[in-house]
Amino acid sequence: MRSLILIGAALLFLAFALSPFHYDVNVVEGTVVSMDCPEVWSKGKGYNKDGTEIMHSADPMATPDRNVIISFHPLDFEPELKPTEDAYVTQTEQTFLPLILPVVVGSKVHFLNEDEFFHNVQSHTPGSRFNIGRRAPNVPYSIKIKKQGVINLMCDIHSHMSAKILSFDTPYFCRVGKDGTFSMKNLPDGRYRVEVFHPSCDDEVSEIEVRGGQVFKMDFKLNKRP
Amino acid sequence: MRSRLPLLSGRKSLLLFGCLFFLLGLLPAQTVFQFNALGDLEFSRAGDKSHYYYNEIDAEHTEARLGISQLNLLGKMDIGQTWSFNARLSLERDLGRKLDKFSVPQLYVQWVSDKRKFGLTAGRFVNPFGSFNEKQLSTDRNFIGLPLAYSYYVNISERIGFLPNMGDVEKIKIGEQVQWGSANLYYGGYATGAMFSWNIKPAVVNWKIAVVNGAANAKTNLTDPWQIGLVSRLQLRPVYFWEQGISFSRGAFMQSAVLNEQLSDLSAYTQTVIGTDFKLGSGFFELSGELMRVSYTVPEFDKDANGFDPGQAARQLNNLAVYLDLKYEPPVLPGSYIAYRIDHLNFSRASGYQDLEWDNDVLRHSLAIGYDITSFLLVRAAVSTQHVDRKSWDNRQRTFRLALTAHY
Ligand SMILES: [Cu+2]
Repeated sequence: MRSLILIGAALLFLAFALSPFHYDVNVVEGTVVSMDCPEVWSKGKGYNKDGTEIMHSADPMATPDRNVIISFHPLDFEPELKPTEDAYVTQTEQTFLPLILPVVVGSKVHFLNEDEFFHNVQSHTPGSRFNIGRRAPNVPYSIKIKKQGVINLMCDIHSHMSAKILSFDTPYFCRVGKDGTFSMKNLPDGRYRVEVFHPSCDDEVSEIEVRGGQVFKMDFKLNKRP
Repeated sequence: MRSRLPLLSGRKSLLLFGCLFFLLGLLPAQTVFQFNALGDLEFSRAGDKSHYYYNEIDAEHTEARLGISQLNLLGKMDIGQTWSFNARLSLERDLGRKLDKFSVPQLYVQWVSDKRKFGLTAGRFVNPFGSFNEKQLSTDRNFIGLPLAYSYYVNISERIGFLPNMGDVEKIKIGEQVQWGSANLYYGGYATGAMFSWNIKPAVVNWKIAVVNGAANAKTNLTDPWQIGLVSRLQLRPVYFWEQGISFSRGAFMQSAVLNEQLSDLSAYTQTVIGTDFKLGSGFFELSGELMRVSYTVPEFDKDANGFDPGQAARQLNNLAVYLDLKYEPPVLPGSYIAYRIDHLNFSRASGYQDLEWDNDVLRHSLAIGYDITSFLLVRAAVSTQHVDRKSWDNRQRTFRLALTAHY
């Protein structure tokens, strides 16, 4: 019995180790420059509240350039859609972190309140409406995201809090770094529609073809949303 | 409802906003603007003994009525993390009648220290008294009417002081205007002045103190002479599911008018309010409420003399206002809620006035349901019924309101 398991494990390892040789994996890297896009920390309906009590997270994730997401949508094949692991949205100092969370459609998103008071999460986005009620600190609550597209999150208790889930039909996406660079690894050969999402700039859409296990360059200049 | 006296005339406000927009060009780069708008379309029907001063439904409009009840423009400008400007322009129904009352209920500049430990606010801002003032916009998933303490007019007027049965029975006129009293927290939503805020322990203990232009019941306009008022609030969160506030307000409220020229010192007449409010939450339930004791030092109007008796000392009149709200958000229908409120006003006995209470007790029940159709459309329906002076339920004062709020 033991030897059978060993042989099985060895075969699995071999299959895994050899698999890259069956097709080429490519890398796309480059930069994203956002031009004149206003800075958005969190935008909501906090207009009639006294601002002195509103807290603000100092987390760098809350700056807009850490919330630019690039996604690659295959045009030549159907990608395998495995749920995103450890998809967490925390609520810290009355701020959703991250402000933008990319996941594969069908993933479970875990909401975690890290403050010492109640938070709520709800969405009124058609096709993905939910309300998780008042949630106590440090007890995660999960919601399965069944709809593809942008899902707007808000907190009913703190009206200035808002965030977005980007639910993709592709496993190929990445977050742009603080310095404005990105690197999308493990892209199989083929043509892709490339989408750039910025919380306050216009979306950018273009196409690329990658082949032969090479590194490709792609730069984006985002314009202010009209 | 929620009508505010205009702070500035329409033309002056336009000029002010013109200047503001000119200044915008000179702002530093890290400025964030936020513009919002909201408007309410309302259908209402009410019993035939309804009155704006009893239940917020105008006596002339108790039959089925459909119309726009309010329009608001809100602007916020954050300059870095320290400075911000906040403004609200509003077009409302004056005393529940025509939609022709333009006002600037909110216009302030605010400074906050690093990590928001301290804050300074100057201008016209949300009155820090109690827990209700911050949730008065129709985008808040709440009732359509206000609690009694904010909407029921008592027998004390800022022009003629105390007069039993003022308005409905005793019709004292200044010019063409019959004098009614005012609510305990009339126009209590906003105050003009300066406020200091201190997050003593962030999210756990917060203290605010403000010097404002009058008592919580004062209908003050910026062009009126300043009456001094003081408001303070201590907000505590002992545990994550329990919030408790303790508020205090004291100030003068009498305005000089034709009928009160004999009163030598109007600032001697004051209103003092102490209140406590709480909020408890659990899952999809929320229980909240407020209790306040209101004390007036007020001159008594002598209707036979059409003035004040110089030998009559000021009266000490009290009342107690309490309401309790229970709200439930059914998880099976995200975006929906159902809420129930019980609301009570109780008046002290006035010595010398046949030892009767100085106004009629009121008990009100309200029920509201609401649903966020989309992220920019909220529909709410609410009914209320009340009885006055411990008499039986008076169906002639019931209300039904259906409101569609569009907001961006
Ligand atoms: Cu919250």
